Amino acid sequence: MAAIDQVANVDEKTRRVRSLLSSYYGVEGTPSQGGSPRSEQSDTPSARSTSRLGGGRALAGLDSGAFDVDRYLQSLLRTTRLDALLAKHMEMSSEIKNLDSDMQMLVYENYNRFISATDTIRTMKSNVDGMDSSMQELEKVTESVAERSEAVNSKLQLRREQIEELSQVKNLLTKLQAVFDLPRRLRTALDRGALEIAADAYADAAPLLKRYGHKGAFRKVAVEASACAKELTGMLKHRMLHHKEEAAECIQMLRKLGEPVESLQEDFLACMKLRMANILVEAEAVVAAMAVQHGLRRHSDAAAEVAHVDAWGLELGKPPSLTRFAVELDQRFLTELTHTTVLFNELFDQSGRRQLLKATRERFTEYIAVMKKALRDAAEASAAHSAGIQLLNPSSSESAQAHPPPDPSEDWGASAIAEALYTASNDVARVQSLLPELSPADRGTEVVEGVLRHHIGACFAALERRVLDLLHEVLPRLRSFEAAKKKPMPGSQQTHPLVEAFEGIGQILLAGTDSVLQAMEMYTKRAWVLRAWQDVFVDLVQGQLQQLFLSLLSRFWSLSGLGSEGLPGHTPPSAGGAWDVFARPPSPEGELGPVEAGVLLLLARVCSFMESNALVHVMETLAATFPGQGGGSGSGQPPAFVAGEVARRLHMAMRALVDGYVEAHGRLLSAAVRAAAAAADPADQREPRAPQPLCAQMLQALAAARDEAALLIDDSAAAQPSGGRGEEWYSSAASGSREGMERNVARLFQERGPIFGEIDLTQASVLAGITRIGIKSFVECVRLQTLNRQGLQQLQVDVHFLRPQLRRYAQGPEGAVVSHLLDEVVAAAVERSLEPILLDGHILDRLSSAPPAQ
Amino acid sequence: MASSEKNVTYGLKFQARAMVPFQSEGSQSRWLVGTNALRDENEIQVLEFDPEKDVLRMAEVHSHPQEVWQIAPCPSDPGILMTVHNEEGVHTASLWHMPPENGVLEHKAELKGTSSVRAVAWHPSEPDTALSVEKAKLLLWRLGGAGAEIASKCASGGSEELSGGAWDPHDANRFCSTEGSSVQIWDVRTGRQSGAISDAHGMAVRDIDFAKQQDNLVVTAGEDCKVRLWDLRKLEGPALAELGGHSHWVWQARLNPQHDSLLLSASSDTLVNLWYLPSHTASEARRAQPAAAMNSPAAKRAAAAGGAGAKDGKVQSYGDHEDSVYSVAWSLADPWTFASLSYDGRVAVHRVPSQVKYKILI
Repeated sequence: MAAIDQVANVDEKTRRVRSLLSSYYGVEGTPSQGGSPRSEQSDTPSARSTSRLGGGRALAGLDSGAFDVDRYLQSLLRTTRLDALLAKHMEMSSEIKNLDSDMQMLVYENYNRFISATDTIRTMKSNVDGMDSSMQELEKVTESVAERSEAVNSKLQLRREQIEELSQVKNLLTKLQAVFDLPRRLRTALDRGALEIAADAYADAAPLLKRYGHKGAFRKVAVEASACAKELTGMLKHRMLHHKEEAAECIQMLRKLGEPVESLQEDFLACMKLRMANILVEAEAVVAAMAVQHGLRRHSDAAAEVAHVDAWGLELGKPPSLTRFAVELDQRFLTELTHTTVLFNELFDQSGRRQLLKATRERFTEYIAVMKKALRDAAEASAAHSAGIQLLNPSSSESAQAHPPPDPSEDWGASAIAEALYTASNDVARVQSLLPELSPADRGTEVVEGVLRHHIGACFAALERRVLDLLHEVLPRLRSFEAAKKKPMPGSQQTHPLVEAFEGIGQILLAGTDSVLQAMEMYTKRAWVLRAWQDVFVDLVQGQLQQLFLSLLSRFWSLSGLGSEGLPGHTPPSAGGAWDVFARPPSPEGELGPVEAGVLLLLARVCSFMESNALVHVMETLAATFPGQGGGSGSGQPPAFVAGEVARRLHMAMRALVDGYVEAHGRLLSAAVRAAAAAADPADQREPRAPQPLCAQMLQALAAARDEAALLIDDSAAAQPSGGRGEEWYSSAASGSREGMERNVARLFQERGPIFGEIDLTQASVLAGITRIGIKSFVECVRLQTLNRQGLQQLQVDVHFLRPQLRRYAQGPEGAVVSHLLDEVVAAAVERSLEPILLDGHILDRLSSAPPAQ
Repeated sequence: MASSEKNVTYGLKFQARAMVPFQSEGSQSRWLVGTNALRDENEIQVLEFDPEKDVLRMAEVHSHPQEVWQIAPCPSDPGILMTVHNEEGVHTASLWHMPPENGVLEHKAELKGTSSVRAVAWHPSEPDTALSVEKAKLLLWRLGGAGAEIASKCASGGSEELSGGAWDPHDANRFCSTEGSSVQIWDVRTGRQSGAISDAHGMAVRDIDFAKQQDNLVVTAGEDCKVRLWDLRKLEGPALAELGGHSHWVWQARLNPQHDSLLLSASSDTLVNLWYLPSHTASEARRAQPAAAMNSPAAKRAAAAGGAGAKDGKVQSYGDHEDSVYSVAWSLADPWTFASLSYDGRVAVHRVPSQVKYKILI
């Protein structure tokens, strides 16, 4: 019951609100809404009873117009009990209260809205009222602005027209008459060659014509006048370019004719440039011809184009005179340059100087280049001549024979070059005051320095070339020597080519460097040549000398084919400059195949010679030639000639080359051993009768190596070092070998130990090294085989035969190592044999005393 | 650098020539070594190197009736191996089953050709195919359960004296053999020779090895004391590089399986040389780094360093042998560890110096 009540309560509340709203918006009393409760009440008494109980429907009916209060009350009183009536009363009074408060709320809300609307309307109205006045003000201002601008416009218009008109009239009147006369006057002036008058006349009339030349009668005048002017300009320009003396006047007139100054300058400079270029072209041709005469380059026809060759100091059949060339070139070129510059300064104001500088700088640079080239060529040529090298057509047989080792009195062209340099730098310096912007003095010094540098380089490079030529000749001559040895000619005791080459190289290195250094000293005597950079010069000489040593060294490396592997950072230095000129043309035989072992030994010997003899000699000569000079001793730079470093590198190279030599010979031995092993038949059942042919081969190969070593290695040098510098190395080497002996003794007790030690450049050490490799290969071959008894015994015989023979090649401590290796051959043979039965001592002695089988 | 490294050696009873890397688990490097005693009982030992304790010890020993000239363990099955052995001067190749414990090798088949066998090699990818090098031909074997049968042969019909060879790990159809001073390249499919390096060395070629990372790169070792690197695409020209540094024959040269720029050479002058060759193996960095799970900047840096900055050269000579060193072998477990074997039976284990290692890695 209570639940139903509650549901009804909620229902009733919504209903009430809805009805309140509908009444407020004026929809109450619609027939459908009004009608329904009545019909409900009248037609269905049961529904009425429910409405009584709940009261919801009755309330809806309460609002309709047909609601009869009395009837409702009566029916209520009649049908309802007292307590229900009381309840109803309570209910109704509370409903009424509710309704009141709802109504009140609604009214309040609506009133609120109304007030705010009114407020808004009021503000809008006041705003619109204020705007009106300012709008009017704005309009007024715009109007006044328009008025003012119109006034200004009209006033200005009047003035402008007036001015234009006035000026037109004035111009028209002034020169009208003269203009019409102009063409005639110009023509007559031109015809009579009075260029000056013509130029003046045209210059007077030019502005007018320029202005009215396009109008009516003026057009004809203007065309004629400008044609005349053009003609005039052409004539003047021609005269200016070809008659240097009149150039100034011509330029004045041209300027009057209205030619722009820039273009005049350009023409003037272009003409000057042309003249200078002609001189330079001629000079270049002469330089080329001189180079041909020097034998630096192949013949060209360039010289034929020069008209007066002899004027340049070039006479057929005679070596060209460098000084004469320098004088001639300077006379022609520098005179031209000075002349033109002076003239330019007179004619044009300083604003054109930039153009002048631009033009002259170009030519001047070319001039410097030509001069440099001539001097360089001369330096190369004299270096080649003094060193006895033919740069072209290097016919190998002739070049070494025809020229003796360099003569110490040879001056390497130093005096001629110094003279030419003197001329050139002095002449160039004279331009200094005129064209300081080109810094001619500096350029002159630059030429001197560059040429000297080149000359020094060329001299040393030429020496290097001589050495390399000798080295490259060794191979073919070795072959021919071998061939000659086979059929000996009585009476002709030839020196071995290796010895010959070695001696030749030694000569070149000692005498050659001497003579070059002396020649260089000549420069230092002429103080003006070196001016401020005496120290630099000495450094330069020393540096190039070092370059000679290092470059030779790198050539040795590449010649030996050993590569420079294992030597960090050792790449052949690219010297550039003169060194490239004297670089040996790549010869096919040099690159083909491995070099012969003998050459490696030769190179090793040369390195050793350079290290112990040449280096000391050079140091002494340097000290004597340039006492107390050069060397960045003050500036803290490393000295240019680092003897210690050069010596170290030489020593390293020497070691590698000796190793290479030993390896090459050892390889021959190994190959022989291998071949013998491959040929051996493991099934061979023959008893050993004599040593194998292999033994004879080995001894033969060793004998050949010994001969070579004896030729080139001077053991006495090792025993008694010649120079103070050499002493410490050799003594250290000697002590090393003493230690080596102790090591070897220890090794004997140890039974096994390293067999490949360091090899020195002594006959004993080299031969022992070769022997060690050969025997070691023997051991290796034996270890690869499987032997029967006969094979084992044959090897035993071989070793027994070899032992005393090899003692000759490996003495002292080395002998122990070789002997140990021979033991190892037998040991390996025993290991590798199926039947380890060895021969008795006396049988062994008998068999091994027989000559090796062939 | 050498002083910090402990001298790890192991001595075999007899002389020995053959040593190969062996499959291993974990960080323990393992090698197979076979003795070479003509008149004694020979054996194949499994040596194990413990990097933590720096100890090299024998893990297993299997007796092998004849002297061992070459060992070739099957790449896929550690229980199977081939050996070349010698009896009475006749070299034969056999297939063996190696029991997991110590014991006698179980003879499975003989690769019986017509003449002395110089070398054997497993097919790089097929575990039942192998190849043997004989005097003048190559025999391709099918190794079934029953035994070995010849599948095909390669021969040029000449009178060559083949001495050994190696199978290209990148191209299973390419096999390189050595003969005298030259190297032949065979096409195994057609059985014909497809190329040759006619004068690979001044004297006989002792060994050839393929780079594992880079295609077409091989290294040869020769009796002329040199090691040379070759590009198989440029057979005519000179070698890519020539390495000296030995004073007697070079018997073996082995490129590192992970880093082609590391090379070992073993010579009868008792030295083992370790080489670092960044310039000839510049592309290795690009190839190897992804495999090593490196990020790309690192790989680029390595490539740049390998291409330009670094210089080829010998890293170190190892002089702890007193007799000819016939064999060197990298470890399969650790690319920075290697072993060398000299004839007197001494096995020495070394590691690549750390500064070279960092040069490659960083």
